[in-house]
Amino acid sequence: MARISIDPITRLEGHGKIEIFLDDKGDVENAYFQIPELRGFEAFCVGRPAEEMPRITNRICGVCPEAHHLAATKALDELYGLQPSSAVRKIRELFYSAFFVADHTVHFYALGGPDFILGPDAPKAQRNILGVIHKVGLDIGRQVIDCRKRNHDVIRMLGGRGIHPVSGMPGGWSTTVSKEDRETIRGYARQNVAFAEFTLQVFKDIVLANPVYLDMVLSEAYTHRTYYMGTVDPAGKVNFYDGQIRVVGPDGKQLVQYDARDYAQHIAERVEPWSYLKFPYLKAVGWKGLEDGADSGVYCATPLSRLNAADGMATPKAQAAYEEFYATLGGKPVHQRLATHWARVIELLYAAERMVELADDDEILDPNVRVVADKEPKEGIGSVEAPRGTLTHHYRTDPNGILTHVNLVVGTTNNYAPMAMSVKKAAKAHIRAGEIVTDGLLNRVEMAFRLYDPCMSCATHHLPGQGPLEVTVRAADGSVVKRLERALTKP
Amino acid sequence: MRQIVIGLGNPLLGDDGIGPRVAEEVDRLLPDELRSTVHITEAAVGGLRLAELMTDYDRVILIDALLDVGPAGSIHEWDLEELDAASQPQRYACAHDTTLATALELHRSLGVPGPNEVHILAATIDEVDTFGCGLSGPLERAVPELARRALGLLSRVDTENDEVTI
Repeated sequence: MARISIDPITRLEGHGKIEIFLDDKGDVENAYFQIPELRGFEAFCVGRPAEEMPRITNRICGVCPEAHHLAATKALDELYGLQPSSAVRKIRELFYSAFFVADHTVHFYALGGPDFILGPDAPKAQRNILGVIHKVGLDIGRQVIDCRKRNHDVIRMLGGRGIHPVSGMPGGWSTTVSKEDRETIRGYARQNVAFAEFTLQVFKDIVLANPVYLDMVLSEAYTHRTYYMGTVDPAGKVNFYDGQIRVVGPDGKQLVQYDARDYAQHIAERVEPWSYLKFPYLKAVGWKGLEDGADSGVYCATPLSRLNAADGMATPKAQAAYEEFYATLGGKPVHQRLATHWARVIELLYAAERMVELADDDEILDPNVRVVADKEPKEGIGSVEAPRGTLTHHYRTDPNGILTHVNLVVGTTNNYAPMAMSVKKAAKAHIRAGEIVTDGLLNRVEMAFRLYDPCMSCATHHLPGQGPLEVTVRAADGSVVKRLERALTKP
Repeated sequence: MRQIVIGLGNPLLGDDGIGPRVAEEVDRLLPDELRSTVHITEAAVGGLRLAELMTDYDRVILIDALLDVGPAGSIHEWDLEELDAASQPQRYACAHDTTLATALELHRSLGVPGPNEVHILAATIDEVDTFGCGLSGPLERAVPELARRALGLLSRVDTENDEVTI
């Protein structure tokens, strides 16, 4: 069996690796992805005071510390039996909305964007944010940088620290909002809305207006019919900070809606022999392998999933964009996975508009944001929508609040099964007998993965060592036909 | 001259925490006369977010962990150009956004103020995938030398401004 290895997938957090196996005819027989997993996190946490978790878990991930910080804080709310005040909830959500704006912006312009703005066949060295900026103009580059800067400023003001925030506490928030900061944030939020609208227009102009790209978005190679998960507010609209988890089927009909604390009743995990990753699936449907369809318990938790699961967006401009999205793509649910990039930009607009609403609310100036935990802790489950999927933290403690059990279902974990399916399908569609495997072809396979915005080996942070990308093409007898090393040499 | 020392790494991942640990040591040993112009911090980020940390400084000293280059605890020192030559076009660290080199180049092309000098001090570690606090013996023994080198860089004369810091 011939084998093609892409290791690691570029532009993703962590160390992803795709392995493509060819048959005797040179067609794709199978495709797998491998992700090293950090070890010992639960053991590391057990025995520590639960109130440390918002500061420990925000170190798991160098990409979304804010998501872990809030999921942990919400788990502590429940652990200590504390209901955060309306002001606390609004400050937390404001903080989180700023994070969403910054994170989705990076994905669009630095990760997903290059595939469309520069094209999948552009030289690899150009398929990055620099290439994007050179193509679309320096002014847009400045807007991207300014957007990140102002939202990280909000995260610093509200989170108590610019990176790895510290403000979350059981039932409360340790940072108050000054009038000066509030005015600054109001201005920032309005700039975010303008930037999000501009970004939505960029997507329309560059992707939707280009028949080649639109065909790619709509192509069967990037289409899967699975279940979709997302958090919805009481009105059934998308919410990133709080609500119930709703799951809809491939036909768009609701399968179940539940409180995050009941996640274990609905989600189970499957281990496959070829990977040490656990693949979550819907218990009510059951595991049928890496398969599409209503009979397979595979579900997806992404921006596209959130839009598919919800009844709409809670803010007006995002709602209009939501309606246009489904009108253009033929109604709900949308199964074309490359449309996730579009859904992400709609979420960017929603987060920006939500920031305006929250920043304009006088309640965020309430100085009474801290509470004393006086109940005996036992068990707490907290959940938020991370940019890359539903994130759940589950803790149990002894009566002194010392952790005895920790379980995390991180955003990307939800998508392991659909990612594996997408990689395989794209590989089968793009790599065929007799065809020379080019950079552009392999990039099309990577695109299947990249749209999920996965964040895998969270928080490891080190200089690169040996060549991080090696592509080996082997004939069916195992001999090397071609080896590509776009790699660094040892310093 | 405004200078920043950034200890990069995750202190909860064993030897990956070498950067933050050395940053602490530099803070402990920093001469009083440098306190007003030197900022010391730690973070586990890369790419744009790391570049954004550098925007207000003239000289940046990154202290990080390194895989696969020599035995555990061995020390390496580069400037950014040398790292670029070694690692182009790959990432510096965090691949979620972009490489550090790309991020700094982006900043330069957009006129975002950035450092004149970026120094990288790194120590080789064996693995980064297991949670735990504290450094292994070889890395703990590397801390004083890394801190000494960082302090040496902080004390260098800024030739552009002809200013003697120590």
